[in-house]
Amino acid sequence: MREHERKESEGEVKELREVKKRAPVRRSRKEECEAYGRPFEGCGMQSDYDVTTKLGEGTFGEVHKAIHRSSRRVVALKRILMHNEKEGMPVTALREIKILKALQHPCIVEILDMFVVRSKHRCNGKDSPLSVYMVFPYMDHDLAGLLENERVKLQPSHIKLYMKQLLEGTEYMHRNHILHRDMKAANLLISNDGSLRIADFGLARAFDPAGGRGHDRGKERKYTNCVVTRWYRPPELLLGARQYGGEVDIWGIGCVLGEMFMRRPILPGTTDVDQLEKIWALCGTPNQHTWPNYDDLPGCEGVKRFDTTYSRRLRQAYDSIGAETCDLLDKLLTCNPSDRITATDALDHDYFWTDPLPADPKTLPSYEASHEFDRRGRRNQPPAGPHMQPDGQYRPPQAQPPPLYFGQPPPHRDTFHNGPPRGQMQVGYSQRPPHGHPPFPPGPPYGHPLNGPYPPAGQPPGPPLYRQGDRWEPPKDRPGHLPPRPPPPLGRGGGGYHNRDQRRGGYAGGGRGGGGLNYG
Amino acid sequence: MSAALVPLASLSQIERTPSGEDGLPADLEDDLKAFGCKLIHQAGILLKQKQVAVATAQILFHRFWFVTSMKQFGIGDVGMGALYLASKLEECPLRMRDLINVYDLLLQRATHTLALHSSPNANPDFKYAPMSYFGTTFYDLKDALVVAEMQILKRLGFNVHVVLPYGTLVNYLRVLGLTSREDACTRAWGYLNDALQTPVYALYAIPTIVSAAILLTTRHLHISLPSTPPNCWWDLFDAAWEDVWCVCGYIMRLYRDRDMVERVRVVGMVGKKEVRRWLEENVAEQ
Repeated sequence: MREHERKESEGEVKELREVKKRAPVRRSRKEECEAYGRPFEGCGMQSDYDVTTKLGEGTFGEVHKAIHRSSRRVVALKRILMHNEKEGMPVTALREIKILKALQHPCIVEILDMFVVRSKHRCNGKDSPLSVYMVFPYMDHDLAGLLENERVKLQPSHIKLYMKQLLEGTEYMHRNHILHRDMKAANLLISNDGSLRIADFGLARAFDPAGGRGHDRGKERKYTNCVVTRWYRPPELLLGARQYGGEVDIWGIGCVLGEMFMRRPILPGTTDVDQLEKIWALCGTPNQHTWPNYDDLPGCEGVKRFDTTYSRRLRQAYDSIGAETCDLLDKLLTCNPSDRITATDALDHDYFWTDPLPADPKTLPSYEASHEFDRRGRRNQPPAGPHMQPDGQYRPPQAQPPPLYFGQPPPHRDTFHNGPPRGQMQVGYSQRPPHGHPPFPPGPPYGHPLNGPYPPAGQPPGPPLYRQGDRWEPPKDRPGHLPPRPPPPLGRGGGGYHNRDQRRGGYAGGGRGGGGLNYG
Repeated sequence: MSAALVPLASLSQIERTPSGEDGLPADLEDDLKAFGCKLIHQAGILLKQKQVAVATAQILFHRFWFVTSMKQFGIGDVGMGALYLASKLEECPLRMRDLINVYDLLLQRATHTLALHSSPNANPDFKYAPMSYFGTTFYDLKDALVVAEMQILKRLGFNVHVVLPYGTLVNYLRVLGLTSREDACTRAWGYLNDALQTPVYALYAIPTIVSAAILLTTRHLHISLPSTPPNCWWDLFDAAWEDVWCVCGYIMRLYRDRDMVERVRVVGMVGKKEVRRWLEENVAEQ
């Protein structure tokens, strides 16, 4: 064995020596052109694409499915709306494009083309809005839509396959000093051949790998903490941390892992404070021992002290998903960011090296396309006139009894989706329309491990736990003890989310128009 | 990610530049590009902008002229748009108002230089006249700025990834054992900065350009390095001699003595209208 190894290493040394002696590479002009030749090419044209169906819509614009005319390739067109054309191209969009063009990895969505259109049809005489489109390969599903589809049954090996790709993509991203900052199920695209790709880099940015822990303290760069959809937001961001690194994405990955087993978001907080409460209830209230100096952080909406002290019960709550899975989840959902597992270490976790191994992508069944938008499109068809309120808000039918779900109606995924009011930063691949959110459901319990019965162990996790049709219908009256409804989603420029990154020598937002670009 | 290759001009793009196709002579085109880059550089200094953003702007500016003719866009507007865009890309955004004010000053100074040459009796002291409150100058420049930014993005296919040469230079100087020669380091650094006024960053890979800066430095300072085949120092950096020599040529041509007519000609062609007029006067007759 030893000898064999030594032989091998000797072989390597020999090879190295040979490499040293090698003559410098002399490429012919033609070979050089093939190696380096990436001439300047402009954008594509709108006329290159046949638009077929709409996939999503939101405050940011919309996503369309289209076919590239010459190659017949199916693509998704994501429109960047120029909300403040006076300031030129939004920085957030520039970041997204630059990052997507730089990252090349099988687990990260690739950008195929861009094109710019000056919309003519809506021309009011003078300035017609300019739209920029990004072209992506079409993917059949996003994870949120897939989890919602009752016909989709995810086996633990399928989940492992998705987790592996998710972590590989994240590892690559973090190795290249990019933070995603909006990790959630809806931003993970999945195709029928079992490949998962991380999408929506609308909030992504480069970060300093030294992360303030390094040499020159005091000069650390500060980032905004108003990122990541609330249910996937890690405790340090909720507590107002302005210096962070890859850990913020890892927390989101933990939430996604739990979600794949539970089939619904595992930490659906209604407000930022409530979000922290839910986290403490699952992961234990931090103390100086588990998270030294956590109380140095600014705190969440003025709240720094938490009256009830919970102890960590994540392992008990997720006991049924398997020992290794539970251990990985435990390490991903660690409150102290410096103790949280990194993507590199997570890929080396026993979870990926024990039975069942990640599924072979070829064995995956293929499902009909399920984008959140497709599904909500079907769901939100108003069943009859009276239910459609004048404001366009869908209200449930009056006389229907609340459906039973462990004694409580389950919330529909959409209701979770008010998330944090991210304001103008909402650029998503699969986003909800600004209207038509059903009202918030009567809160917990959700059959959630924390506050409701959990399906008996042994029962395969996953498939729908409620079966009263496609649509969740909340009861007519909202009981008083339930938490308040979340605020309506804010559009661009909404509510106080203008914190920008503090930058060295930059402008602290001086004369820039309030609701416009977010440089954060 | 840093391994991502930056786009470079193809042979056909180099041989037939859009401005050249419109009749602009190659030497005039190069001089105009250099002047546009000087304006970017001056604006960057006046705005106390980071050199990273200024250099990025200059490289984007050069790329742009391989896909667009100076008959369509002026070097002033495109330079302004490039600096605005590069500042966003390098996370040090500029205020539009500041950038426009600075460019207005630079353009007024150019006009003043012209006036000085056409009539020797003019007042030799330049005095900046701020934009009038109700005038349209600001809005005209602002529109031009937004258009230029979008055109750069669109015509370059949003490929705005730029690699700067400075880190590579430090590595190469270390490899060659030249870090103790402070004069050599400074000079090589200066050549890289001056090279930003030439199109080489849109033509050659970074190792070639850095090798050219080192070659010029060592020749000027009489530092000998192994240069006889098969032991050539530039081979260490995968640079071909012909390419390195060509980059040296581009840089040295910047320092060529230009007579007064040539100098003034460039200052008077900052906008596309002046370029068009020049083309009508000088090319149409032929």
